Amino acid sequence: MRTQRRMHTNALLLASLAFVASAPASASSREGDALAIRAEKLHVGDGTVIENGIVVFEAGVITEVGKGAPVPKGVVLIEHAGHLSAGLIALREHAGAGGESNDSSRAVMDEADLAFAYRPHHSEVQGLLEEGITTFVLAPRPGSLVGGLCAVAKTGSEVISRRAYLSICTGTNGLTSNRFPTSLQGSQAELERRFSWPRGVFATAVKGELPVMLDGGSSRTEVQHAIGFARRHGLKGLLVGSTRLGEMAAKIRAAGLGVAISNYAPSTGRRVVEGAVALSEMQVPFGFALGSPNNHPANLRLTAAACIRAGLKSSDALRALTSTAAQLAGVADKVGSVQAGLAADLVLWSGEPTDPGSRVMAVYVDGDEVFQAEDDENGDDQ
Amino acid sequence: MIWTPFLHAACLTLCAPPLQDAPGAEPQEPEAPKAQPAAAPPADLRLHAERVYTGTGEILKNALIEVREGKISSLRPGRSAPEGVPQVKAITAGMIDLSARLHSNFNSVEQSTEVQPHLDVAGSVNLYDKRFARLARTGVTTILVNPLDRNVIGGRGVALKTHGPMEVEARRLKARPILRGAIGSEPSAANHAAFGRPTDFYSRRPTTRMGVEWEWRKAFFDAVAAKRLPEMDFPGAEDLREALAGKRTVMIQAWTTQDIRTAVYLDEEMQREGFGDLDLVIDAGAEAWKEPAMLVRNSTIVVLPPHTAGGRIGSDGAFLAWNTANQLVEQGLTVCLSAHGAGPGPATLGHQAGFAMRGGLSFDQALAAVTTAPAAVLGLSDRLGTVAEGMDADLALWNGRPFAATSRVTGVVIDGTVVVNPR
Repeated sequence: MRTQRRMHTNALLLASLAFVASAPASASSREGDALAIRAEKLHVGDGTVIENGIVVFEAGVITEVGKGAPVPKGVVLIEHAGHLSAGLIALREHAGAGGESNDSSRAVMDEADLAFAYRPHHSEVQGLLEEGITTFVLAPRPGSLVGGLCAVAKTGSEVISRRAYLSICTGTNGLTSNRFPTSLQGSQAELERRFSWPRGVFATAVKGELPVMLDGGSSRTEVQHAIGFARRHGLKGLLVGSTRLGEMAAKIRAAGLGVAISNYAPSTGRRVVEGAVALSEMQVPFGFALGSPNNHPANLRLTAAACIRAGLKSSDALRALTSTAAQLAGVADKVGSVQAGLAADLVLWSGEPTDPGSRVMAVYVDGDEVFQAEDDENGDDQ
Repeated sequence: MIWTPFLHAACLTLCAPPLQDAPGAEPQEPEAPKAQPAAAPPADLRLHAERVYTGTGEILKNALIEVREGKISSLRPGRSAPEGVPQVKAITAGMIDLSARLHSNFNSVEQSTEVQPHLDVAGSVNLYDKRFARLARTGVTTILVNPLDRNVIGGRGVALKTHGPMEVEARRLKARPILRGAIGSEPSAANHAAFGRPTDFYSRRPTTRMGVEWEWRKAFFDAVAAKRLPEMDFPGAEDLREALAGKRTVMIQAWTTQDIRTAVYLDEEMQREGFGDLDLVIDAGAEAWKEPAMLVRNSTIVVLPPHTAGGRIGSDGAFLAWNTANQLVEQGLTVCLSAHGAGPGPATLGHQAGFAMRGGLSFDQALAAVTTAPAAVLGLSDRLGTVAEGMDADLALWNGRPFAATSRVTGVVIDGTVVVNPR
């Protein structure tokens, strides 16, 4: 069976070499088959680009990366006339929970585990793959003071980290008019109480062993409160949910926090994208939030592209979409770079990954090809 | 003829004595070079005014004010303005509004229960709110921010300058603590009886004025009981006991005479029971004129709401008369004026003082009602409310006689910083 398939793919490859086509249909390395892909430009994830780089992977894990990486005898080498990068990572995402990612009955759901909200085969998830997103942080929707423990999930596959962040809303996003708290001072009093005499996950967070995802709210005052709150209790983690974070870059850096950039949308104006540039200049680690299914999965890369237009370096944008995001989510030892030992989560692009004109040609998760673009000739979009 | 506040104010201007600015009327010290003590550093800011209304009943003519490190370091009358020093017609202390209402609306009141004495409104204050800057431009330099009056006991208020550091804790004044609450229809406005199974906490007490009063009384009784029975303790009990002990001012919004009476009776009941004596301030006490005797009896301070053309104001339909401030002062009561915020429109705190003068209040009394009286409520008389050496350099600079309808605040200094340049 194995031999047969390899021959099949070989034959396909040979047949398509003349057109320099994208990956063959049934490529997989999960069952032990090794695969190799040579791309015109291979983005490692740390900013380096290897011309005609080869990545070899087997059993879902990358084994070799480099220009002259040895391709073991008999391993299929797929030629890709385009770019290759690690799969993109969305920080703060709600897909796959079917709208069940926030329990509104209680303001504080400290031990709620988002891993149990995740349905890998939910229709919301497929859209992420089509945009090259292979990993995401499944976070509660805003609406609670403490929404629960965020999970890091592979798109369409398993959860790889169950306690990535403790999700906290310090601002107006945590308020609801029909249960405690309805006010900012009420919310602050409750959070101060939980973190000043910490137990359970709060104690873990105060010790610095569990990062927090802080949704401060959108206004400057709220963000100021969130940063002050993190500093007061020695919390580490991510600030999310505001378009104002760039203006506070110095304070965020001093607090040792990271940032998940909100989606670029007409309502946010240029603050988001200019903020990303400011954060980059201040060397604040940041990635991109998505918030699908409310936002289209394409927004992840479109926001990055808008940041590039505002002055962010393209390589920094790609890092924010891959390796930095993996570091921020605490899964850099598993995903986020094209590196030996990491999961073979790969995206084949028609061009520069951060160029909004580039298309996703194929996506591999754990070495499995889980998405392939339809041929232009057959597609209805041309 | 329709009497609007503006016509009243116009009348006031016509009746007001003209600003006497005849030059040379006062002896002027020659500007001869004097041997300055070597140690004196140059002033951070110097201002010259034809009249400085100090707030102590004194009017200093042709006065030169020097500011160092945010404080008034020297105040000398009878000087001509040195080269380059801004000159204005008049200077008063920056005005203080105890009912500025710059809270963040429903985000500023914790409605999950109706009694929240322990919550501090500071957590919900948004200093980037443009109303702060707008208020500063009208010469209001200090305000008290309280929660929205949708609770029976809303919590602690916070006194702030209208300009300064952009973090509340850095800007907070060490004022006498304020416990804020309300009596009237507002604390019960959103509540309703439960029909069938209650779905939220608005199916609760109080739904009536009577219920509001009951909550007040219960809160104080419970706080006293909790002192002896620790198992009865609840968040805020200590705040309530401090209020009973007079360590905290209790500021109650009560528009109508019925609600003002309830507040005073509450205080008198606490005294009768031997629980303590509330340091009571009635906010928005529009109808205090109807039964002033009980306020005098209880030496209650009254903060009046802004004057309106028709007299009616507030959700309880209270009636504020033009001469209310004067009547209360004549009875010996302490009155503060308020503009309820920095809404668009001309009715600033300065105008309110002018309106009160139209109702009979003297200039000195009107000035006190927007400076020294509120400063005393905040327990900050040693810093705010008067223009004197050593006081905070919070100044309102006027282009004419203060509170006259043709005058306006043309410059503002807060903590020695020129917030609005008079030039």
